Amino acid sequence: MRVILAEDSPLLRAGLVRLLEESGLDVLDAVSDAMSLRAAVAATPPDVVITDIRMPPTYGDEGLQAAVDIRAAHPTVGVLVLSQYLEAAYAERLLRSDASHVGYLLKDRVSDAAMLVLAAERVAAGGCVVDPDVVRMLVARPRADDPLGPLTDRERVVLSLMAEGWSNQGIADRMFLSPKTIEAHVTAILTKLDLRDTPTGNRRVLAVLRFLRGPAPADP
Amino acid sequence: MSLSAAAFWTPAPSGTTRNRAGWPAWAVAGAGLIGCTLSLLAPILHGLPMHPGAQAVHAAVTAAYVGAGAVALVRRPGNAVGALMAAIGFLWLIPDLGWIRAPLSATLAVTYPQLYQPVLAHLALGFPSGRVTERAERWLLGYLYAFTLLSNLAVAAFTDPRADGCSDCQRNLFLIHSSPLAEQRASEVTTLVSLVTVVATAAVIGRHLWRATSAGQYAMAPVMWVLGPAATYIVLLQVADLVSLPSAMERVIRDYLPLTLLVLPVGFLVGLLRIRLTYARVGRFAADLAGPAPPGRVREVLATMLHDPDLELFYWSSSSAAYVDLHGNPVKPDRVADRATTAIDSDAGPLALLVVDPAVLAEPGLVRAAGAIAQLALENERLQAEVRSQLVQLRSASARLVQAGQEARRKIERDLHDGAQQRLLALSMTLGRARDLLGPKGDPRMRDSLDRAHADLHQAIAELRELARGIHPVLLSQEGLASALRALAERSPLPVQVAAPAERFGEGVESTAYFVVSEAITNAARHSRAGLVRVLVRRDAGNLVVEVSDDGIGSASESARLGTGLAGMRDRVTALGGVMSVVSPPGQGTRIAVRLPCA
Repeated sequence: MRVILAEDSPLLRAGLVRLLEESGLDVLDAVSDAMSLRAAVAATPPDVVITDIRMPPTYGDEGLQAAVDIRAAHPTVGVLVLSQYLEAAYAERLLRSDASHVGYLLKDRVSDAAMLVLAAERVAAGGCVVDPDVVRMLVARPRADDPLGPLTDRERVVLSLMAEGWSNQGIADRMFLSPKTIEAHVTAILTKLDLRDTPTGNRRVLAVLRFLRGPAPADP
Repeated sequence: MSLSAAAFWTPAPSGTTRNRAGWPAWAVAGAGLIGCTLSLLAPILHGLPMHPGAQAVHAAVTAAYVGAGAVALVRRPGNAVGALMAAIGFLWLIPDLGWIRAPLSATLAVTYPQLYQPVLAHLALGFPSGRVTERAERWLLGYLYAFTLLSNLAVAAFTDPRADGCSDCQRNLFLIHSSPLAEQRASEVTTLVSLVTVVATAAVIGRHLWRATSAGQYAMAPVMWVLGPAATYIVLLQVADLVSLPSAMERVIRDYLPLTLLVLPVGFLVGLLRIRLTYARVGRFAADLAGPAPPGRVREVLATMLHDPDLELFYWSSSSAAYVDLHGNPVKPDRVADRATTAIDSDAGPLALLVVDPAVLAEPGLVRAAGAIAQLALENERLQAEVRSQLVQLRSASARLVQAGQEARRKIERDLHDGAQQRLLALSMTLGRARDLLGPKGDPRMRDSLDRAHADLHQAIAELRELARGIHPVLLSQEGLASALRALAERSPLPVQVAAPAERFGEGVESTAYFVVSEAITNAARHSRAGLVRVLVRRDAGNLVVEVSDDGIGSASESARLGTGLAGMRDRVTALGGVMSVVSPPGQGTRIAVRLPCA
């Protein structure tokens, strides 16, 4: 699997290159800002891009913007954003266009090479990845009229895995349950949450994420 | 109290000038008296008594102009008005020179009976300063003088008083060629051009009055009153020269209409009297200013007293070493363009700056008197303006402090991000690699230690992330208040509902509003036992309004329960010119409202 990396901290960039190469990935290029990233991807489109959010020149959200642009310009290139921010807003912004070939992972995951590589593979294969901590924050948040109240503990776990981007098969593998059982859980969850018109596949991830976040503040 | 005037006419200190100005005034008055007497006596001496009424009117014009001129020379030394009025009075007597049986006097009497007219126009355009400043008006005056001198000369060149065999008549010194026909033609042309000239001059004077400021018009009142009657008189005089009118009518025009000219000197004297009366009323104005007065009262009283409704008053602020207005804002120089300024000083230093119409300074004594009676009230208002000026400075200083605090927070957040957070992430990467290298067959105690270190490090990274977020949430500057408040609600320890518009409000305002909500939620979570916090953000008439209400136990108003965080937020809100209120009746929840001015 071919990777292009964008990270402005030299310390982390060098560490990540070593980590990815030791895990058997082919690092085509490692750049330090969003502009070089766009150029590198345009020159040699990789299977997956791994990028930081906050980079020169403005140290704002240029990595995220570049990720969205790369997804639009190169439909076959997956983008995994490594974020320093535990913000559901950024994750939703990344998934908003088509929710495939994208991932939003906290930078903390650099300590777990296996998880990082697995996420990169899922993204490259067209999947969608949302960091478990982001999902945990949304599921655990206290609510006035808790819509998650009717869910059983197991259903909550299934809902969390749905939000993290796993398919029914993926959830089944991780919970050591049959796909049939998971399918039943998913149907029960969607009925209880009144999400019956929810699309399948990656679009489901965005729908569940939006449901967990609740209505936007500007909505009446 | 001293007074300095930057007007076009700077008055000299009164006492000495008045003494020095004394003798020309007396000389003028004496000459006028002699002139009038001779004018009245001459017909009798020559055994040709005239109608007493006509004689009285004729002498009255000279008496009024010379008299008013003499008064003006005393009252306003250095101002040309006095000289101009006296000149009109004397020139008016030119026809009387005919009584002197000599060629020169007779020639002048016949040629220049109307020489006072251009001087009258000069006076009208120069009233009350005595100066004609506008270019077009100066050109007009030049033309008027030249036309009057030359046109009458042209007529005289052909006029031979002895042509009809009048041997008793005096010789015309200006005669070049005796020709009654040429004389008649020249006279007709001259009279016609004169008519046009009079009307045009009246129009220019009218425009001059029309364009004056209200204080200027007040000062020019005598000119305003005389313009119509005098123009009518002079026009009728030309008409009487052109066509033959019934003799009674012609007598009225020539003998009695000169009364209209009296309006100007009489008006001038009335104006002086009015100023005297204003002096007499100074006591009343002083009474108006006694006791506590609302801000701006001094300005009103001075505007009434000096007849300048647009009068402006600025106060000396010693802290900013500048004149400031009632609200403490420094005076802008363009405010005083086209206006005259006059400083009012006390013994202790500058007190105030009067910005008035230049016409007001024509009566410097009155301005001084006004300054004197207003002094105490002015000192009072000046101190108030000074306090307000300091408040303005204080407010901008605290706004700068808030700004600096915010920049410091951003810098700390950036330093944490670039420094400690990156190092800890790199460390966790190294630790993860060590764990991977150890593999499943490694020493279990070693593995256990690495796992524990990894868990602690993970916790430290998460805590540092939340710390940086609490110092400055990146989402706030990137996506705005609504997005940042939503994210705040997502990690809040109790349910929070947010309603906020997606628009942006300016960095300082957004940041302050955000931290008010953050502190309010922290407070509610800590003390209120609330089940729900509602956050409402809206824009209201140039303000950002934020309301945070909970359904808890209330009683949060006491400072102990309000928390130092919120108390600090109140300071920050105030520094930005906003207000913050906390309503927290026992058992009825807490409602914190903030109103922040925003662009």
